[in-house]
Parts: sequence; structure tokens; C-alpha cells
Amino acid sequence: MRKISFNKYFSVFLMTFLIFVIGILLSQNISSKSSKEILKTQKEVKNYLLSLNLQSEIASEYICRVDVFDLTKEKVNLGQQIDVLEKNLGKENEIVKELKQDYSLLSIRQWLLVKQFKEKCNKNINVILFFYSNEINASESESQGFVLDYLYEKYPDGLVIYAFDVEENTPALNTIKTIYEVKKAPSLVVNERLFTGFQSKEKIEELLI
Amino acid sequence: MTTIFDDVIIYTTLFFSLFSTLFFMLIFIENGKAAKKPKVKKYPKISIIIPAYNESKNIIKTIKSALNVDYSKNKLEVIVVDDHSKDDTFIQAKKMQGKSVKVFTKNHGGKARAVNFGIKKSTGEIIMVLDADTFPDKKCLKNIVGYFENPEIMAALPAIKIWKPKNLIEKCQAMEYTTMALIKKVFFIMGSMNCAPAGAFIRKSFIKKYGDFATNTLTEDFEMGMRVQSKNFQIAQSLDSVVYTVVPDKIKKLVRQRVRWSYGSLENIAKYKYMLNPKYGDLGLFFLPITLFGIGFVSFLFIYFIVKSIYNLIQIIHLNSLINFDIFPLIDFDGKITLTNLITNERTFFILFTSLTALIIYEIGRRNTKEKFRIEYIGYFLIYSWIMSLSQIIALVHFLAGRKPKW
Repeated sequence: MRKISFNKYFSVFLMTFLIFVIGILLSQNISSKSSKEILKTQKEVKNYLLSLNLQSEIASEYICRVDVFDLTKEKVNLGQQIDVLEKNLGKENEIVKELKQDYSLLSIRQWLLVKQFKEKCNKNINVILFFYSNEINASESESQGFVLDYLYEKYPDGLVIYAFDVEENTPALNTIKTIYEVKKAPSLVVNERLFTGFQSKEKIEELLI
Repeated sequence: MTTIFDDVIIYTTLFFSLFSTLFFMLIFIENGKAAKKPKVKKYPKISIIIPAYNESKNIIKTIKSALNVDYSKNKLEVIVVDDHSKDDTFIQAKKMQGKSVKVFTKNHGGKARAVNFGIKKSTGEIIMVLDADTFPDKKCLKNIVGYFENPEIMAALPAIKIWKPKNLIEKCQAMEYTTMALIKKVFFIMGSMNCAPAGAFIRKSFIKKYGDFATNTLTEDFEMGMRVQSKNFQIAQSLDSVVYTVVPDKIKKLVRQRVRWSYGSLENIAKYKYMLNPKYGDLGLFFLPITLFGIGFVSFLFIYFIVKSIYNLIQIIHLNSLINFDIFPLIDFDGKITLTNLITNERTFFILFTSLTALIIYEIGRRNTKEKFRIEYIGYFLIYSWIMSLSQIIALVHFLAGRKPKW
């Protein structure tokens, strides 16, 4: 009978296993650091929402002095942070869900401000509402999102985009969906007109002022 | 597109890689020192057999290097077997004929037959098979014969180094051989070395008892190794006995060589499949199964990730076609996000850890074979493994289809 080194395989297996556990713990430690980031983001969104509310109150009188695109840029930054959290923590995470809802409320608040700005200050700003879904027709939504990202980067001073998960059920969002008769994803509301299904870059560009 | 299936594959791969790199590293660190070169009590007569086919350029140099080794001249003979070369190999070799050099020519029949012919003409106790493009180091024989003091050991292998590597492909192989020297040492420590390649020393009594080199396989050296193991004898791996060899300098040639090797492994594992059995100790329980699993799993991974990459590429092309490939506004859009994601990902940790272990294996191998450090290791790491995987798949496909790859 020849030698079999069970203990060698076992000890190396154990060691590999340990390293795996350490690795997972370590990365969780990093993500718990980023969970502090989450709290920060959460706070930021809340504060921002609050200050936007205040701001719009104040701004309604002096609205033409507000830099709309500056506001949008800050919001997009927040949105990207939430995306990262969603990727790390998963879609079903409560914090992520809450943040996304807050974020969409914030988007709505900002959208109202922009509308006001457009009317009162006589400015040419293109507003797009984008209703997407990660479940139904997800690949079309993804394509549409890609095109919109592109347009947003291409027209930094003439276009604001607000994206909403069509699945989301906040009263405010439901009202908007009802007003524009949005039924499925992807749908776009480009300067108050509804378009259902994927819209090409050329089509959207034609609709821009 | 990341699915649970992807995660399973990635973590299996990471676990498997980490396990094997740790295994080889730890076993060597634990036993490497104890397995250093054994003391020599007596110097047996050695017959160096050089099979040569169309080697007129190298043959004189090889014979000279064989004669030049530090070993008692009356205990050394060199036997050149010209396999009916089309060039003047035989005439060149004849010039070197003398007291300890015998030169023969025979009808063309392939390397294994030429070696067997040489063995029949030999008078030594130990046979060294030396390819015509391989040169022994001066200390090669003295540093290895000690292993034969142990009657269990039927063959002993020198460490193989690359003769003056010039281009990147040769340098990559130099690094691979350095790593392999250590891995083969671990095979020996575990009593599972199962190949007898270029420069191998073999006890003639074993060949007399159990037959010549096989002529019906692509890798007669692997067959001989499996045969030694099947009879429950051992093959030793030395790190301080060195032979230099010339390696393929083009990717195409390299792929061909590796296809031949992988095919030969499969062919001979199939021939000796009864050894996939704990009766054959660590070899049967671990090293043979892991070789098979390695070939199968690597082939699967390769195909899977190629298909996946093509799918992703199509997706990217599709998305970019929607914006008429006007990508300039999008550049740097995702930079920050990607970086954050990469750092908080445990896979990165495992990949770094495995790479580090692999690097340590290379480093230990390098120190033990006194090789120079080569920065090209990084290139080796990224590209070279793809070439190896490709060769394995070609070999596997040939094997499953039941036809030998062309030379």
C-alpha cells in the first residue's frame, strides 16, 4: 500500500478555506466602511431633499438666479453613489430601497423647480422624464439609458434628465405617471410629450429645442 | 451580465487556484530542504544517448557538451543514433567518434526507436536520454547520480533551463520552466512524479525488465514515467543538476508542442487508467485526478469566458451603435464607480492573494535553480496561460475525437 497524505490535503484545504473566510470578512469590513458611506449618502439625500424644499420655497421668488444645471450635477452625483450601493448591497436591501425612493422624490422636487424656472425665466431647457424597468423589457431600458447618458454628457447646458423606476409606487410618482399616461417601460416624456418604447438618439435629438 | 452561475464558476476557480498554489508552496517549504541532493557513494557508468534527426547544426555542440561534463571519463560513454537524417548529421557526428563516442545510423523510425536502438548498444548502468538540442551542465551528472543510491528510484530528472532565451515567448517559457522545476520537485516529494522528459536518467535494469520506450505514443517520456509509477517505483527530481534546452520561439510552434504534450498526457492516463486508484497513493488519489480535472476545467473555463466575452462585446457594440459610436462624451463617465466597486470586491482580494502565492512559487523556484529574476513574469501571467489553455482544448478535442494531432 502506497502513502496517502490525507493530513496534507486537509491542512491545505483548511488553510485555503480560512483565507477565503478572511477575504470575505475583510471585504465585508470594507463594505461596512462603505455602510458608513451609506449613512452619509442617506443623510445627504435627506438634507438635500430638505434644502431643495426650502430652496424652492425661497427660489420661487428669486428663481431666475438659481443655477439649474449645478443642482442637476449634484443630484447626478448622488444618483451614482446610490448605484454603487445598489450594486454592493443588492436591489432588495432596505436602505437601498429607501434611498431610491428618497432619490426619486428629490428628482420630482427638482423637476418641478426646473419647470418653474423654464416658465418664469423664459429659459430653453430640455426636460426628459425616463421611466425604466429592471424587470420587464430590461434590455430595452438599458439601451435607452445608455442613449440618455450619452445625450446628457453631450448637451451639458441644455438638457436635464430624471429617471424613475416604473415599478416604484410613491403617490407623487403615481400622479406623474397618471398625468403623462405612462403605462410601461421604457417610456420617455420629452418636453411634455409621451413616447412609449425605445427611442433612438436621432429621434430624441430632433425633439430637443 | 453577472449571474449566480458566474459567481459559482468564479469562486470555484479562485478556490481551486488558491488551493493548488498554496499546496505546492507549502509542501515545498516543508520538505524542500530535506530533499536536497543526496550523497554519492559510488559513481555508476552512464551512457548518454543522443537520438538525432536533421540536427547537423547542433550535433557537434551537443556531443561536446556531453563529453565536457565533470564525470570520470571511463564511466561515461556517448552514443549518437542518427535516425536517417536528410542532412549530414551522421557525417558531422562521425567526426567526433572516438574512445567514448559511438555513432550509429539506422532506418528512419522516430525518436523512441532511435533511443531504444541506442540503449541496446550501451554498456552503462544508467541511461541518460539527451535530445540533440539539449546540453548538460558541467555538474549535471555528479549532482544527480546520488539519487540512484536509493533502490526504489528508477529514474531521476535534472532541472531544465532554457538555452539563452531571446524573445518574449522563450523568456516566458524560461519562467514557466523555473516554476515547473519546483512543482515537479513537489511531485517527487509526494512520490508522484510521473514523467521522464528531456535529459532524464533511467536505470537500465528497469528498461531491461519492463521493456523499451513505447513507440506507439506521442510522448514516450510520459509513458515511461507512468510505467515506473505503475510498478510502484519512484522518479526523483533534482534542482541542482541542470540541462539546457532549446524551446519553440514562435507561438504556433509552442502551441503545437503543448498540444502534443497534453494529448500525450491524456493518452497515457487513459492507458494507465487503472492507476486512478488510492492503491497508487497520492498519485492515484490526487495528482492524476487533478491533472484530468485541470485539463477539463480549464477547457471549460476558456470556452465559457470566450463565449461570454463575445456576448458582452456584441452588447457593447450594440449599445454604441445606438449613439453612432460617438463615444467621446461618455469617456470617464464610469471611472469613479468602477474603481469603488473593484476595491470593495472580495474577488480582487483572492486574485491578488493567488497571484502572490504563484509569484512566491516562482521566486522559490528561481532561487533554487539559480535563475535570474525576470520582470516579464507579468506578461507571462496574463497572456501565456491563455496559450496553454488553448493548447489543452485542442488536445482535448483531438483526444475525444480519437485522432492524433498532426506534428
